[in-house]
Amino acid sequence: MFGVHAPFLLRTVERLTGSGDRAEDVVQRVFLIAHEKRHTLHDPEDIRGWLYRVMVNVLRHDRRAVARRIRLANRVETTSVPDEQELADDAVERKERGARVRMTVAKMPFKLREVFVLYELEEVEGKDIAKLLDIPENTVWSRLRLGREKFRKLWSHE
Amino acid sequence: MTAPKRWRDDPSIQEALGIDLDAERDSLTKHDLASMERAVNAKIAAGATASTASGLPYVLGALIIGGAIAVRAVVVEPADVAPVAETARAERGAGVEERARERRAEGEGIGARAKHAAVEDSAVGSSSAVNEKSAQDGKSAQDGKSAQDGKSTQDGKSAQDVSSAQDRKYGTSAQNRKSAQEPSAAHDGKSAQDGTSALEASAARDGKSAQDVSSAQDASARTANAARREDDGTNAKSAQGGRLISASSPNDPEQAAAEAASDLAAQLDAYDAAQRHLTEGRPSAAIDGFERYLDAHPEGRVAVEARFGLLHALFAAERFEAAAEHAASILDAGDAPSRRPEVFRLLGEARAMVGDCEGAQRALDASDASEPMRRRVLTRCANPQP
Repeated sequence: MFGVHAPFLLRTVERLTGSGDRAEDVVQRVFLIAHEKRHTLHDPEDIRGWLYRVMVNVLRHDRRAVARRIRLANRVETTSVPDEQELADDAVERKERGARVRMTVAKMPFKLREVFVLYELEEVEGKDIAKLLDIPENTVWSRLRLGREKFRKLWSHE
Repeated sequence: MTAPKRWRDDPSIQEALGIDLDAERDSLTKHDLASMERAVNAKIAAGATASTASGLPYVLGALIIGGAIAVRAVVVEPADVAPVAETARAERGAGVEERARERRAEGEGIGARAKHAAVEDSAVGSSSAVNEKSAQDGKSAQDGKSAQDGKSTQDGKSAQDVSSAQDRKYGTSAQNRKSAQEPSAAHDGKSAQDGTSALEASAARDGKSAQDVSSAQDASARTANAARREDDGTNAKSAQGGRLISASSPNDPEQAAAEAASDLAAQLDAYDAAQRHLTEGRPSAAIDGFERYLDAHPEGRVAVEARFGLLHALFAAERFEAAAEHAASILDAGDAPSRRPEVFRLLGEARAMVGDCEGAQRALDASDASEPMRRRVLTRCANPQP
């Protein structure tokens, strides 16, 4: 189970929170909670959605820590260039561009952010996002539209 | 509504905004999934023993325990296992309730084992069907009747016999048995007259151990025993309480169930405590705990796990000679065949640490040690650090 679902969760947490370090911490907790609450998994085929919901709960219950992590990540990202000096300049620049996208995403409201991340970055289909988030598919598209607008605003203010 | 085109698939939008989603993907942190998985498994194991009893050792433990309960239900007690779990909840509160739920959730746990026990009860002529019904109904009179009728030799056993059988089964020391029986002696006369001790029955209902009750009845005589039992740990304390209940009311399945639940909970508590010492970095205390548990319950319900715990504790305490001896004894006993490679690895490391390089090599050859680790251990053995 870990090998199958952890990569998705790690990517998603990193994209939702803007922190890779945070991702490992959260995903480990997700699997610990999932282990404890495994009797609540009623549909084994929905294990990905179940784990995702556990992960979102972890993030929501830990919002202050997330905010701290984001602030920390902001500082880390802006000061991480010296560590990358061994890389070619373009690789460093590319990494920074990627990090900037993630930091912008991390500033979006959570509901918009998760749809944006799942659709635009994780490339999950709309109907699957609806199932994952337990919302109607139309809500997915409306959140995506709002999320894109928010991203543009935040990006332009970067 | 049709799905909108993804930005990732639309270079023009990315260009207009000046974003690079491929760069975003490439810049994601790389994670060592294997080490993460190991860490999660370790935390599950540690967390389970430290608090909620939900870790992998308990998955194994639940299977072992379930089997032990099934066997014990046949050998020692007329009661089914289902009321054991129920009584455990009533007696011990949330801790045992969690464990009982955990074991039921394991599928092969108590629920399934209980059915198995019921079938086996039938096979030995016990009135398991009546027991099961009475357990469900919360009645006990029918069990008492079956015992009185002598229909079941199991049911007809005296409480003292049961207690003695348990002592033999779990290797309880003569002193402990004595201290368990001392308080019961105070009740024996009354119990014989009344058929049952109302106070003890009340204690069982209220979730109090019989030891507490007997202490209240005869505090001065109990003080020394209580102190000794405290020294012996919770395990011994609850186990004695269980025997006390049984001694006074041999035919009451609820009390027999309470006894079993108390004993089970005590064993798990003792194991938990030792495991917690190990995971929290107190190997010496862990060794004491595991050894005490194994002394009291050499064939206890988590004895196999305890033997492995002791091995790890000895290793953590850098008592490599003792660890090597203990590993060899585990291998000789044939405990947990699937974990033999792990034991061989620890045996190899332990032998390497005491300078027995040939022995280390033989053990490592049979172990699950990776080649780099094997080389490292053997190199260290050949070139010991001062």
